[in-house]
Amino acid sequence: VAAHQRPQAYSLLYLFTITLFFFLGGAFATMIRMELLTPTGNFVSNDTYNKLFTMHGVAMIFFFLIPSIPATLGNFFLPMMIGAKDLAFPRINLLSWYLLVIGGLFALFAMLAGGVDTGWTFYTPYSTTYSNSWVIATALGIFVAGFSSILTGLNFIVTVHRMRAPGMTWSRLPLFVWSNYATSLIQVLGTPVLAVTIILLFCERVFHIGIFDPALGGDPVLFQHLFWFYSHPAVYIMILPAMGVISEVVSVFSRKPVFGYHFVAYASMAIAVLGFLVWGHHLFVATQSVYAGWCSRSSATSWPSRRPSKFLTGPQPYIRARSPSPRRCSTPSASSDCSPSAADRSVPRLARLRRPRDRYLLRGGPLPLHHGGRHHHGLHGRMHYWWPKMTGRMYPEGWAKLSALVVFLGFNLTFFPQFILGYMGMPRRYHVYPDEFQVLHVLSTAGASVLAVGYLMPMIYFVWSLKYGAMATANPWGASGLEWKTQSPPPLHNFDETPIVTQEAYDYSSVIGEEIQVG
Amino acid sequence: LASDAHVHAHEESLALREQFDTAEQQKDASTLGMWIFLITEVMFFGGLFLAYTVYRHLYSEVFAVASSSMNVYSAPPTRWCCCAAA
Repeated sequence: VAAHQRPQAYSLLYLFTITLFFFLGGAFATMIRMELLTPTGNFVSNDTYNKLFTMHGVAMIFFFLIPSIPATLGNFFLPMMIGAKDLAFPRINLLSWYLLVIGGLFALFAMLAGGVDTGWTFYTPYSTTYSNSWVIATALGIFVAGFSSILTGLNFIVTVHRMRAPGMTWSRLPLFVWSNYATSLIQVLGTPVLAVTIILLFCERVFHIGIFDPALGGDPVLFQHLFWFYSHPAVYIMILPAMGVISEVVSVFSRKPVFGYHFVAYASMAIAVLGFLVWGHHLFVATQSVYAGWCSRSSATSWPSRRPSKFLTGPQPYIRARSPSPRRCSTPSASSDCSPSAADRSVPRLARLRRPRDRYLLRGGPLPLHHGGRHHHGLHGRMHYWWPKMTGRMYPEGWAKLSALVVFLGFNLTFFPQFILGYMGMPRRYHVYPDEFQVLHVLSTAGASVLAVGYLMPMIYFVWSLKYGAMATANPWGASGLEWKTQSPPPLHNFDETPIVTQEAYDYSSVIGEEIQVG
Repeated sequence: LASDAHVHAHEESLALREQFDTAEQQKDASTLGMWIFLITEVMFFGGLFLAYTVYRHLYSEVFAVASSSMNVYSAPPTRWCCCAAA
């Protein structure tokens, strides 16, 4: 990639980095699933298993899920979708990548030096007093990577406010931009609180200053309040951009404006705001002051976050007979979105399972993984949707459809047994379990293997397409967004001349006759 | 000359960057970016300042006693960190 193609080059840097961490986290997941094949602990020790799920969580959450969509693809497409030449601060974009890499190196060092065993949540006083693993190195890695996330959010907010093309009013912003804007608010407001929490953890572990340890006059629940003040909204950092992707893809391939556009846009903002008020539901076990009970009202977020699912999946009166792979890749997320009990943004049928899940599966259920699941579908669909625009090449359509099918099957085979296991009483973070759970654990491991194949396939055919794929036209899908009104890949400043926007978002009247190009 | 280089660098930092259309847009973007950065700083340190204020109010006598017997220069590094944190 030529150095002068800055936004493109930076996005690829992020893409390589998070892919590395995705494989790293995936390797830990593989070991976890291998261990869980049998009811007895015969592959790793208890201590090693603790380290495996911790490092899986750290790699996947802080170095893959959080940066993935905003940093890789948001940095590329957010300016294009609002008709801007680039982000407001391209150098901060690069700085953000450096910080991600430096933080990643800290975490990588901790993993290679012997790992960390606190769980990705670093609960005190275990993390500050008792754990003998590499807590500080990992926490500092997350601290540094957090500033990467803050800077991405800052850049997006300023870009959306100040860089829109003439005519691109707020009510014409594509929903992907809305969802990334909402995400940015969380990144900017929440991540500093995580940073100071890590500082306090550092002070207690290294200097024995009593903040969280009751023996030193501290309060361990304080840590949980601070941690979840960030980490609950952080689940929306992971999921909101994916919802934005799905809005785009479903709209384009049904050739219909998003039904309830304004509602989805405002719901994204409501999720970002309400997400800050419900962290208390992570403290059901630890308990909290009765005066803080309002912050357990997790159902508050379920209302706005359910709307997008409904508005997107309900009304699709006109789906084209040919449904290219981006839609196939991202639609499963709308149906398999069994995300955390608390937020309840399931499709209505699954919502009936919510109550039992609250009680049993919150501990037994693979909640972060489900989040990952939906997120993966968003990223998966989105990579297929925007790949021709990013690279100027079409990927092989047949393989993409096969990959979508394999991921869909693998995903459900991996996680539905885990839901049932959680319902039956399988606790989280145990690697020894009663014999009667084995069948479901074997099924889940088999599903994870299928899922791995489904993710490896795009790796191969995307790379293949860079050299052998057909050249992509400017608008291979017949989409209406501004990013499709310029060449594939885009020129240095995205557009040869700044576009003037005269249409609402998702107005297909001018492109309705255009044919879809298939690689 | 060093001063020329300095002036030149200053002018360059004010020059219109290629992603902006007008100087006004560039200035607005920088200003907004700085305000957002300051908001992140408030979120970063605000809790500590608030905790200090509340404790200063609740236990003001203890603060007075402690301050009369505290020598910043002879304090162990942990105390400095505590002061910095507070």
